Amino acid sequence: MTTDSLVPPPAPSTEPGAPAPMPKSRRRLIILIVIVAVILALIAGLFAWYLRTGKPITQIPILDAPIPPAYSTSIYDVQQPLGVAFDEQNDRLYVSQSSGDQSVLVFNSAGQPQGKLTPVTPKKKNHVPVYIAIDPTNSDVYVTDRAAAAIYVYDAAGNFVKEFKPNGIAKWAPLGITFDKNGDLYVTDVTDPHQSVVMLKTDGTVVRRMGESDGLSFPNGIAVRDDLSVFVTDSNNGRVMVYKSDGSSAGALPRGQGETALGLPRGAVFDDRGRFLVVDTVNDTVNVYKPDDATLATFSYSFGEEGQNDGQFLFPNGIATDTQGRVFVTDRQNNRVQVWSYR
Amino acid sequence: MNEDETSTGRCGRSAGSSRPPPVVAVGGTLQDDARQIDGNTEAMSEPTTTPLAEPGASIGAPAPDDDRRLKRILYILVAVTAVLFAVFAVVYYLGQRVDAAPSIPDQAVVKAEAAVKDAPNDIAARLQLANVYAQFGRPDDALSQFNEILKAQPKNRAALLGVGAMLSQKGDLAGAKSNYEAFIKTSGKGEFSAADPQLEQAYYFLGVTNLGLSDVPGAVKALESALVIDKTDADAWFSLGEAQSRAGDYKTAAEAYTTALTFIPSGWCDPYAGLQTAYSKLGDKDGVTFAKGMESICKGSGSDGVQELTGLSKGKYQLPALLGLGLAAEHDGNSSQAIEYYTKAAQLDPTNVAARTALARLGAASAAPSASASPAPSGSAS
Repeated sequence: MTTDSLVPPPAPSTEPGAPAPMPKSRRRLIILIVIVAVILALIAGLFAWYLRTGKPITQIPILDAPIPPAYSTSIYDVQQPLGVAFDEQNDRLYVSQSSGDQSVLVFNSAGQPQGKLTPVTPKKKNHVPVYIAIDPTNSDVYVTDRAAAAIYVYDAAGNFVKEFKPNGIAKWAPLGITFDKNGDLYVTDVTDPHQSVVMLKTDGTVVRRMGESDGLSFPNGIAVRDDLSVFVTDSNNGRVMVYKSDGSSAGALPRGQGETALGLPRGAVFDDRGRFLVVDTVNDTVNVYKPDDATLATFSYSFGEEGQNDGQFLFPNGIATDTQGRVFVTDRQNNRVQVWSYR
Repeated sequence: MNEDETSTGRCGRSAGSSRPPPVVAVGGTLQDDARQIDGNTEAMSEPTTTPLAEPGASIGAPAPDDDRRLKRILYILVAVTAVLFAVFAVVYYLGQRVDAAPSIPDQAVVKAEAAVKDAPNDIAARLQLANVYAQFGRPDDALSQFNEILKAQPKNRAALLGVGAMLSQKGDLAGAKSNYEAFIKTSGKGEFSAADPQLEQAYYFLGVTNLGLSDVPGAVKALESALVIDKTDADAWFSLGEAQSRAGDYKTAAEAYTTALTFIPSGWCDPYAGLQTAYSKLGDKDGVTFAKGMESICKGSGSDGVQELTGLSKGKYQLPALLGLGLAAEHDGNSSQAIEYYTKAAQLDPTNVAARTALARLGAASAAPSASASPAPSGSAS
């Protein structure tokens, strides 16, 4: 290189009082400082968000990539579990077991046993607890009992409170159960000939029935979206029925083929990001639908497959989520509750 | 000359000069910056070497002290960022880390191994261990356990089948064949041989193994023997279809594929692919259209399948095509359309179980004509 090739620097201004041009080196320093400051702010923001939510970084609100959750661990020592519900406030995971002593087992979110719920009723009465819902207003636990055709209520401490009875309904067969964000209760009633979904107040007042004329066949899971649309897995018809907040029908999620197939949909839930998750018991998968559709939902991806290894299911049934990106699925024939995470 | 050369050159020149070195070379790298920052820190400890101003600089020109301050700010920011990132990484890792519980296979293996350790001569315990190994993808270990059992009980049925399955899994088809044949020789004429599910399995696996060994007549014979014991084994029917197809008997192959699909009508695409080949060889264009349409529906391309099947409005494929169209409509959530197709199918053949079951499933059982009604003359392929 010769010195001729160097470009001489511009001559400094000799005019008194004129601002001197900023040297390139300083400009570069300032740019670097700004860049590092921005990175620092991003990391600090991310850190603060993580400390506040406890969610994995894949759940940052601005990210909307359809990334399936990954298998995390399992909770064993449950016998043919069916329903599952998570009480965020008290860090309680409730799991109904259809075999063994047919009770509802209570764990903390780390999977450590905390106790069990057993109804106080005459001994002759048979019990098979199925689905579980947590009252968002007081953390009471509602458990549907298929064999007893009843709903049992426990308080957050695990004490049996009462049998929930709907006003004006003499005979019913409650199966699926959930609460909406306002504390109203939804129950699937599989009493023939018109199986339906009943919306109730917790004092037993019946608000409305839905789906009586839709030919529902063993509607199982119920999930209520933030806009109070009601999604019901119509299990034996292999579809998900959707009802608007006024109880009118909004249509159905189609049965699909291949990956989107719904063979025997059962447990269903909306997570805190609005994703709709449906357990397909006979396909041994969980289907996940996008939350962004105006009325219904669009298939996004599924996870799980048949088997006994980690991340494989044998007749999964119930599903629950928490606000830390975890998904709990009862894996009935493998006698465990699988924990998946969006990490 | 690249950018690195530029910066190095400039630093080199300034090192031997009495003037303070330029702070940052234009276009220099971050490493250069770091070196510059270090150098400048040393310079700051020697105040006498810092000139007041550059000769010729204007009165308003920035002083080198300002640059040093900026560098110090940058240095601090980088350090804080690095520390914060490290702390975040540690907190995140600890918060997200989960010690996964032992998997079902691990639990099963530990339990079965403990049982064998406790009672090494217990055949049932060893068989359990072998099956656990086989089930959870450890064929070599399973083979070893099955062989141990055969040393003690050379005619142990489960061990013979197990060795055959493991050898087949490892690609030793000839070895697998001899074990299946040994099993059949042992059990083929027993009192319950006509209804022995293990014998049926042995015939089925022998058939599949023979197919793998290109022994097509042997495969046909074994698969037919399996079907004598269990006529509802859809897998055996499908494999028989494959064997007959390879034998060039496409008519029998098509019948075998169709029978397989009778037991598993949806969600199983391979028989439809086999049917396409068979119908194609038989010159049955409608048959090819039907099989192609059903395969498309099976694989999730419903619109392509519907297009194919809609063309089959008459002939022997009309009824199965209507059933396929109904299935596609049902899968699309279009119940009324599905009911329409199933009703037409039930009108063509009032005794058709698939159509009547589908109508009942859709809550339209009343749409089906009486089962005692005479079927329409167009007939049925199903």
